[in-house]
This record gives sequence, C-alpha cells and structure tokens, in this order.
Amino acid sequence: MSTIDEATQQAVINLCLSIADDKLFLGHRNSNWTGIAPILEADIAFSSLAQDDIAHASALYELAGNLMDETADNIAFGRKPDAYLCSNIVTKDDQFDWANAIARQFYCSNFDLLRFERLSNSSWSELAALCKRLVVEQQIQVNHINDWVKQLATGTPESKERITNALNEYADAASSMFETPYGFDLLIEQDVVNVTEDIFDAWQARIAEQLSLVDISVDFENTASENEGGRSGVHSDDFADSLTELQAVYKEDPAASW
Amino acid sequence: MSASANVEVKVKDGSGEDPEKLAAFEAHVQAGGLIEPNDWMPEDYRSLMLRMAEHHANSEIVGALPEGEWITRAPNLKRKLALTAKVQDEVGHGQMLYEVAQDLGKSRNAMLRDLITGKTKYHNCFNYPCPTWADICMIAWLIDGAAILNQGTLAHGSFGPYIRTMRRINMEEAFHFKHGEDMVLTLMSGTEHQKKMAQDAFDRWWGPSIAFFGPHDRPDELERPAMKWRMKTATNDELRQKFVNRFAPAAMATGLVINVCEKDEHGMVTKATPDPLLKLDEETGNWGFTQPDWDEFYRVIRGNGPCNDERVALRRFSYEQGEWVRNAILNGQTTSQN
Amino acid sequence: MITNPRIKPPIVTDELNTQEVHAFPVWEVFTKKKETDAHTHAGSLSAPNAQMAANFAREHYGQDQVCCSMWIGLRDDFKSTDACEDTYELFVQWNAGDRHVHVGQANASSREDAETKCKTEFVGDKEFYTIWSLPHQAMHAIDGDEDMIWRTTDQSYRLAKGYSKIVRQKWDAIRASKEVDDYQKEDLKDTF
Repeated sequence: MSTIDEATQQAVINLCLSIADDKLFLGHRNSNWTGIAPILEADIAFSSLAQDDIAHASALYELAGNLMDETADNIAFGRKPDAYLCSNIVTKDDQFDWANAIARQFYCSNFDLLRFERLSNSSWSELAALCKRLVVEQQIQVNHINDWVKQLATGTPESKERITNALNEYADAASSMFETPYGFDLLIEQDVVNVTEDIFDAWQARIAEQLSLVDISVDFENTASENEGGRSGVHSDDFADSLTELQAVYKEDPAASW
Repeated sequence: MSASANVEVKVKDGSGEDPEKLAAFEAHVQAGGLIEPNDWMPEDYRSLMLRMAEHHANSEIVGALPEGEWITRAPNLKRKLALTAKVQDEVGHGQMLYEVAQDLGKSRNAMLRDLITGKTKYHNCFNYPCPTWADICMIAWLIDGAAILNQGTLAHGSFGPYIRTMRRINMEEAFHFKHGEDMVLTLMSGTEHQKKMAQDAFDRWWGPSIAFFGPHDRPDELERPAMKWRMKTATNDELRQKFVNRFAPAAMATGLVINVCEKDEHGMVTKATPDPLLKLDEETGNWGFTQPDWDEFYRVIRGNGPCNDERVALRRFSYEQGEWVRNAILNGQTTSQN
Repeated sequence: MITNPRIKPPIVTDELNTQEVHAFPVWEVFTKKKETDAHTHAGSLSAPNAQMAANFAREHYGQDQVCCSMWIGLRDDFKSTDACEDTYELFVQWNAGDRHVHVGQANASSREDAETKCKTEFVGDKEFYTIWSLPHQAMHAIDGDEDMIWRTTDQSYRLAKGYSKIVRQKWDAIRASKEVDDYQKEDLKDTF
C-alpha cells in the first residue's frame, strides 16, 4: 500500500476503528469486574486482560488518528453512536455472571488473535508492525481464557452447565464479529488484509478444538454477511447503555480536558 | 487507596506469657529486631498482628468499591486504564494482606465471611459517597496520600511478612498518589465547572482524610501493645499533623479552599466555611487545623454512615455470585493440568 | 436494563447460605526484573492448581513492575521432608525482614541434604536467617522471552514515573498563572 486514495484511506480507518471499538468496549465491560470478581486472584488477572484490551484499542485509535488528524481520546469518546463500528457481542450485558464474561472473552480473544495474525502480513506496514507486536500479548489472553473455559467445564456439574449455557447464549452474538466494515473488499484487493482462509472457519476450528477437550459442542452460524449490524453502526440497546456510561464524564464539560 | 489499621481495638498485652521470653521478645523488637512467622512471639502479638492485617486487607477490597463504580465512566483512555489499574492494585493489596493474615491463623474464607456479615470492620473513610468524578481525583490524592504517610511508617514495623507487603504496596501507592495529583491539578487548571467540582469534592474528602489516621492518641499511647511491639511506629496525631503540613499548603496553592463542613445523612455538604484555625505556626512549622467531627467518625464506624450498607452489600453480592466459580475450580484441578 | 449492582447492590441481611469452599493451596512466587538479577520472592497467592497459579502469578506479581522471568512453587513443596532425589533450587533469606533470594542449585537426596549443601556452597560463614529449597521438578517457570509476562504496550499509566513530568509541568503552570493573577491584581490596584 504505497499510495493511498481517499476511498482506501477511509476503508483503512474503518478497519482500525472496528478492531479498536471491539477492544475498547470489551475492555470497558470487563474492567467493570475489577474489585468484584469471584476470587481475588482472578479479579486481578481479569483486570489485566481488560487493561490489555483498552491499551490495544488506544494503539489502534492512535494509528487511525494519524490518518484522521484527531486524537485517540476524541475518537474513542467523542463519536456519535452510529459512528462506532464494534460488533454486538462486546457490549452484550453479561449480567455479572462469570460464565458469560468468560464465554464472551473466549470468543473475542480467539478472534482477535486471528485478526492480528492476519494483519501482521498487511501491506500497510504500520498496521503490520503494530499487529505483530499485539499478537504476542493477545496470545497470553487466549491461553488464559482457554484455561478458564477448561476449568469451568471440568469443575462441577453446575459449572459445566453454566459455561455450556453461556457459550450457547453468546454463540449468535459471536457471529456479529465477522461482519466487515465498509470498504473491506477494497482492503482485500490491496493486500491491506490478507485473506488466505476464511476467518470464520479458522475461528470456528480453534474454538471447536478447545471445546472438544472438554466435551462441549456449540453450533455457530455465520450470519454476518446478511446482517447490517454493529460494523455498520447499527447497534443494540446494550451498546447504547455502554456508550452512555463511557461518555458520562467526557460529555459533562465539552470544553474540558480531564 | 489503602488504609491503616488505626482503629481502636481492645488488646491484651502479653501478660499471660512466660515473663522471661516476653522480656527478651520486647527487648529484641524495641531494639529494631524483626519477627518472622516461625519465631517465637506472644500469642497476643500474633492475634493483634492478625487483626491488623485482616483489617487492612478488608479496607483494601472495600476501598476498591467506591472507585470501581467510576471505571466505566472515566473520561479518557489513560484515566480509564489508570483507574482500572489502581482498583486492581487495591485488590492485589487485599490479596497479599489476606495471605499474611491467613498465615497467622485465620482462613481467607472466614475473613471474607466475617467482613460481609459485619463481624469485622474496614476503614471508615470508605463509607462516604463518591458522587462525581472529582471525588475519584480527591480520593487518589488525599486518601492515597494519607495512606502513603501511614504505610511508610508501618513499613518500619516489626513483623517481616507485613513490612515486606507494605514496601510492595507503597511502590504502587506512589503511582496512585501521582495519578491523583495529576487529576487534581488537571481539574484546578481546567474550566470553572471543573474547579467547582474539585472544590465540592475536596469539601467532602478533607474531613475523612484528616480522620483517616484514627482517633486522638491516648495519654498512654506509647505503652500500648501496637506501639510497644512496634507494629505501629508513629502515633495517629503525629501522622495527622504531618499530613496537614504537607497537604494544606499544596491544596491552597492549587486554589482550593480548606473548609470546615457540615454534612447531611447522605454525606453531602450542607454548609462550608473556611477553617478559622488554618495558619502556619512559624515556630513549630505546624499548620493549625480544625479537628474532624469525631461524633460523626464514631457514628459512621458503628455502621451508620452514608454508604456502610451498600459497601457490605456489594462485597456480599460478589462473594455469593462467585461461590459456584470457587467450587468449580477447586474440582477442576485434576483434569486441567497442562 | 437490569439495575447495575455495582451502583445499587441488592441489600441482603439474612444469614449467609453459601457453603464454605475449602481453601486453595498457597503458592510462592519469585520474580526477576532483569536477566542479571536473581529470582527474588515476590509474595504468595492461593490457587487450586499449578496452571491457575501460574496464570494468576503472571497477571499479579508479573505486572507490578518489569518482570522477565517467574518461578512458582507450591508452598508444601518447600516443606516436604520425604526423601526426594532431585536438583534443588535454593533460596536464602539473609536477615529477618528480607525476601528470599535464589542463590543457586544443588543435587541432593533430600531437603535436609539440599539445605546442608546450600550452607556449604552458598552461605559459608556468613550469617543468614532461613533457607528455602524447592525440588526443581516441582517448580513452574515462566520465561518472559518465550511466554510474555511484562507487556510491550505502554505501561506508563500504572507507574508513578509515568506522571512525574506532567505533574511538574502542571504545578509550574498553576504557580505561574497565580503569579500572573497576583501581578494583575497589583496592576489593577495601581491603575484604578
């Protein structure tokens, strides 16, 4: 990607924002467990994962911000609801149920690792360099969360039922991750996104591999292509609630810096 | 935000012990010697140390709650990360302190259950409300500033595991405090709305900050076990004066006014007037100040503060919601080894 | 939308009806800040098994400050007196109040043997307080080079030094603007 026309630039921005928004809202929801998770040690660990997600979002906002001539904070906090491009799964209310939190993070972490792996070969060198670095951090998250799924699935009959239900409960929302932002085809043409395999199939294979270890199977249906959802700025009520909280102080005094 | 164990507890002074052993122990400790878990110690030292660590741990995990409420509302990326990390640190401090207490003979579960059923206490200052973002800024600056002063002295105590934990905690408190200072300075160099928010929050937190160090010293303070056995190395009043000497001029330099406040039952300020005693005594170098409202202090400590019920209820919610998870991973161990 | 329990927790005052879970075993965690340092005791934690202990250790003791390597061992494995032929990792606490620091390894037939070797090979006639030893096979290691511990993403938000410069600048600006205000006050007095 040596020269960049306006349409490609917008598509690149959309790509960065779609990943960053996923990470921001996932971290936003999960950071809300800090201080009240089921075990002190798990509380600390889950908070680290949430911080990683928000830190990754920051890095991606900065990259997009260079093209948009805007600060990462204003991009993260200052857009209208329909300008956010996150998928529905990241804001789906977890009802303070640990199984929900783990199931969601399990789906999202594994998907993010795949995304970062794929973008490590991007023709846009800045994005490739960033993603190469983030792959390593993302791998920790994947190992950690895969282990949680295993622990809950092999714990007690109750925990197996709870994690199985949660994995099913979030299965539909998981397909929203595979929606693509506007201009994505253009990015494939220009090798900004390298497509060697279908990312849904690859993700499903990794999820199935983990779940087969603990004798759980979940059916996924990729309905992304039929949907005009989060990636197109069409959001759920849960998203609206999350955004209201996210912007609560930011909007209190528009002239202020905090 | 960390807190001390500067509460009044009825303690025994080791009078049931072998007088020779006790005398040697006291001489060792008073000469600056340290005690490790396997060393001989009076039973009363053990139980007082346990209670001190337990109270401190309780304060950390309850202290995580008022700030935790604001994580999702933090106004920019760096603040959001920092507040999450700060609350996470507090949980970490609680975890480390529960380990210290547990090694002195009480299980973590028993401690968590005693906390949520009201059998044990946590630091009083966490029973006050946090209605605005500016409260988060003031807690990090004032309460963590007070905690650093206090824990700095606790790190010179006599019990090895506790002082090692204090040193580690203080390193993280330095981040909490600087982050608080940064936020207060940001507000005080910001818009009129931000300055007003800051002043209102300062009015809510100045009182609890100077009450943070606990009640007035007793006349026999230095003879009481906590001081005699060097669990504490500074008295409450000494620390309070040190705090005022540091923070009163700094607050005024930012443009904040130090007020004496009356509050309603929700902890909201109904009347604020500039502290008439606030002036520097050139001779001693000490700042004069109006004492905190001690009636209010004891009312809140007895459970009748603005937020006592909510704090305990949220800890209980967390404990009960988490039961199935703790049971699960206890059983999940054999199949999950990688 | 459900009421956020974080803001408005349900107030329950009846008896606790949950059963107490058996306590998880305690693990000792050692961290190393840079390659040339020795592993030093960072603290302990409770976890049901080695994998979770390692996960928890990485995200707690591994994130407080820069960390390039961690060792985790079950506390009971530092105590067992069963004869066990192994290479032992040896840790010395030189004075009361100190943290245990890794001093080296010894091939030994039992803990007693290992600690004797520790004294002859690593302590000599120096004074020390206590020795810990852990059979190497019971130790769980995380090597940060292969399995990241301290993150590469900017961590300055969680360190005091990440704030010192900006705080100094803000103090300078506040003081300067106060001086300007005072200056202008005088200005006005003189003029009017």
